[in-house]
Order: sequence, then C-alpha cells, then structure tokens
Amino acid sequence: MSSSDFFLSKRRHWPVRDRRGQVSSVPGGFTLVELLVVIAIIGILVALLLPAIQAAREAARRTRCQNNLRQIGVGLHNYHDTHGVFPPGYVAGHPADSGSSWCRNRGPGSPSDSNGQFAPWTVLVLPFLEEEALYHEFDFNVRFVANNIQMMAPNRDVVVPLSVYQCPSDADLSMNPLYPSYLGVQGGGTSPDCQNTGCTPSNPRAFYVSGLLFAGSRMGLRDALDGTSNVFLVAESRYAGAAWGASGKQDSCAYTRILAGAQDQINLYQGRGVHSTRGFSSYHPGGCHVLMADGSIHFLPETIDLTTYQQLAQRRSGLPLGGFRP
Amino acid sequence: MNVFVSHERIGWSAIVLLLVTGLAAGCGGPHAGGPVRYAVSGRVTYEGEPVPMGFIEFLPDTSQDNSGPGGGAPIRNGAYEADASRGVVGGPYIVRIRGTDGVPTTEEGEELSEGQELFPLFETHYEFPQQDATVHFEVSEDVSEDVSDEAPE
Repeated sequence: MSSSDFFLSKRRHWPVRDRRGQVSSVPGGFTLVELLVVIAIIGILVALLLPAIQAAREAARRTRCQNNLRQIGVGLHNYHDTHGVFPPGYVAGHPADSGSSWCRNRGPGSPSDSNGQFAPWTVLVLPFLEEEALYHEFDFNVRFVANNIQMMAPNRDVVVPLSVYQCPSDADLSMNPLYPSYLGVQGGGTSPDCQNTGCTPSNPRAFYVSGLLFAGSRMGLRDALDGTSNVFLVAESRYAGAAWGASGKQDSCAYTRILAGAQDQINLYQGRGVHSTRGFSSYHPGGCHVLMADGSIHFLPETIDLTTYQQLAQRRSGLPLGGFRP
Repeated sequence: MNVFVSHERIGWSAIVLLLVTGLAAGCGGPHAGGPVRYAVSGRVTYEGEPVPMGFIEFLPDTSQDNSGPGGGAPIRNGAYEADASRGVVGGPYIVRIRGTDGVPTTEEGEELSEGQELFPLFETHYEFPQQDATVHFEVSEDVSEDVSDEAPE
C-alpha cells in the first residue's frame, strides 16, 4: 500500500501503551474523504439556512411595519373619538369636490383660491401618537408645501424622522429618513376624480374625493357606507417623494404628497414619481399592507383583482365585494 | 476493491444526495398566487419611430366582463416586456401607453427624469390570447387603432 492510499482511505492507527503496559493501536483522526464529506454537508446545510434567515428577518420587519400601521390606526380612531371625524387628508379652506379640474386644494378665501395645502393628517394625528410636543412645534398658519423633497420653512426644521411613519422594509429610508412609508387613501377608481395634467398630461397627478382622507375631507366612520372593514384608510407606498409633513406640491405641476388613490395595480412601478398619487406599493415581496377604516390591517397581494382593489378604496362604492382573494 | 471510496460510502452518499435534492426541491420560490397570467412583450412605436421611454399598462376591461389584476411594464427604446407576474390573464383589456423622449429635463422646478411627453395618454383596446404573446402597438393621435401581429411562442 502506498502512502497516499494510507492518508486517503485508512484511519491512522496510533501505537499506544495501555494500562497494562502492552502496546496496541487505536483508531485516531479522520481521513481526507471524511473531512471533505463533513465540510460539504455543513456547507449544504448553511446554504439551506441562509435564505431562511433572510426570510425570517423580512418577516420580523413586516411585523414591525404592521405594528406601525396599527399605531396609526389607533391614533386615527382616537382622533375620531375626540373630533367626531377622521382628520382631513390635509387642511384646506374648503372640502375638495370633483367639480374642478384640480380638486386638490381650496384655499381659505374664495372657492377659486387654490392655496389650500395646510397641515396633513400625518401632523394632525401626532397628539394621538404621543407626539404632542412635536405637534406644537409646527406653525399651522403656513402652508405645508414641499415643492422638492424638503418642506418650506419654518416647518422644514420641525419635521424629524418618526419611526411610526417608517416601515423597516422601506429601503428608501436610507436615502432620506423623512420619507413616509404610508400614505392616506384619497379614494380609487379607473380614472381619477380630477387630475392635474399641467406638467405631464399622460402621467396625470391624480386627485380623488371618493375615499376617507382627501383635501379638506371631513369624513367619519359613518361615511364608510361600504362598511368600515371594507374601506381603506391608510396604505403603504414606496413611491412617496417628500418629507412626511408635506401635504402637497404647489405649482403648475402640483400634486398631493401625503395622499394617494387606488388606480394602478399594487407594486406596478419601480421607482418613485408622480405615480405616487395613483397607487400603493411596498418592498415586501408580493403585495403591501393596508389599514382599513375599522383599524384592521391586511396584506393585499399584488395579484388582487384590480376592480376589487379600486372599490375597496372608495367609502361608498355600493358594490358587493368578493372578499380579498382575487 | 476501490480503496478510495467503499461501496458502503457510495450508498451513504447516494442517500445524502437524495435527501439534499428533496430538501432543495421543497425550497421553491415564493408562490405568487392569484390567477394564471401570461407574459406580454413587444414594441411600441409613435409615428413609426420607437418610443424612447414610457410605460404601458394593461387594465382588464370590466365593461366587457373581464376581470383580474392589472399589469404593465416600462417602455425602453421602443420595447416593453411584461413577465407573467406583470402580465395579463387574457381577454379584453384597456391598454394605456405613455411615452416620453427620454431626455431628462426640468419643468417648473420639477425634474422630469424621463423627459418631455411625446403624446397625450394613449388608450386603446386589445383582446389578449390566453398564452404568452408578442403584441406591437402603434400610437396614432387621430385614431385609436393598434397594429398588432401575434407571434405565439
């Protein structure tokens, strides 16, 4: 037998002396083949385990994300208990209606006054999320407008990252921790109730008034005629492109920042942009979370029937639903 | 006798291999759920020229009793490719097409990274087959008509 055969396949037998002083040999150590097999098996097990760990981490992030929505839901319900209605999508002089081409924002003056983008629901609900001190820092007499990512002064300096508005799965928060992961649901439908086609005519900046949170809305649980468990209140979005305290953008390219409608399929678009007004999305694989008006949280699959999804965003579609499953 | 690997070890290796294969087979990708959808791809042209950038969206035509999830895909250099997870269930659909020139610009202080729009929102109807399809769309401003040729795979 050659020496290489000895190392590869045979256990080494070490000569040792037992208690009676006799020399014998006992097996010791591993052969190369045995070592390689063990290493290979460990490698396979680790390879099997790693994706599972990543999935478990995503599951944990999802739970935290749901908890944020839960807190927002409790906050909105406490607001409703105090004021009798949900907060407006953002404060405007007059409630929006579909009569104008821009039903987004009526100012405090005449009905044609379009300077009406004041405090959004994300700010109004702060006292009910145990953030009353922060709430009182805001100047409510100026418009909560963000023409870029950041808001206008002086409220620009008040907005700080708030974990309740941050979904841990939202990868864009590393880019800007002020982005909200959740947007109020203005309503839904195949076409917006009104739209701004000033800057991008074929990529409309959508405004809806058929949901529970829209410009100047004063909607309560009584207005959710489809049943509070069948109407969206807040939903996840990865499209949002401004600080969470911003109600809208105010120029000829205006659109709402903190509100969105259900028009386009969940997770249809990749990046952020104007389509933030027309749909919801998340970084969770396969769908996004929504908070219903009754405070319950559901994970909507991105394969949901488009019409069902659009109707769920409306407070009084008057149509029966086939449930969540497409 | 082979001194490197005994018959016994071959037997064990085979069992381990089978187990690992079985385990790996059980770890398939996430099941998407929902109705079966088919991939759609093709070209989008405007006045004969490929549309540089944009988005094509497929909405089930509920007025013709079709239902299902909506789909869509970005348009890049006149081509779009919607895989099955963004595709269609087949049947009558409303197709919405947006197209831009792909030259980043700034309007009213807003950065339009995909450039100026070439045409207003183009909407047409198309009846998709219940299989993967290649459909070409021609955007024409006056008539909502699509020039399509189907190439089953």
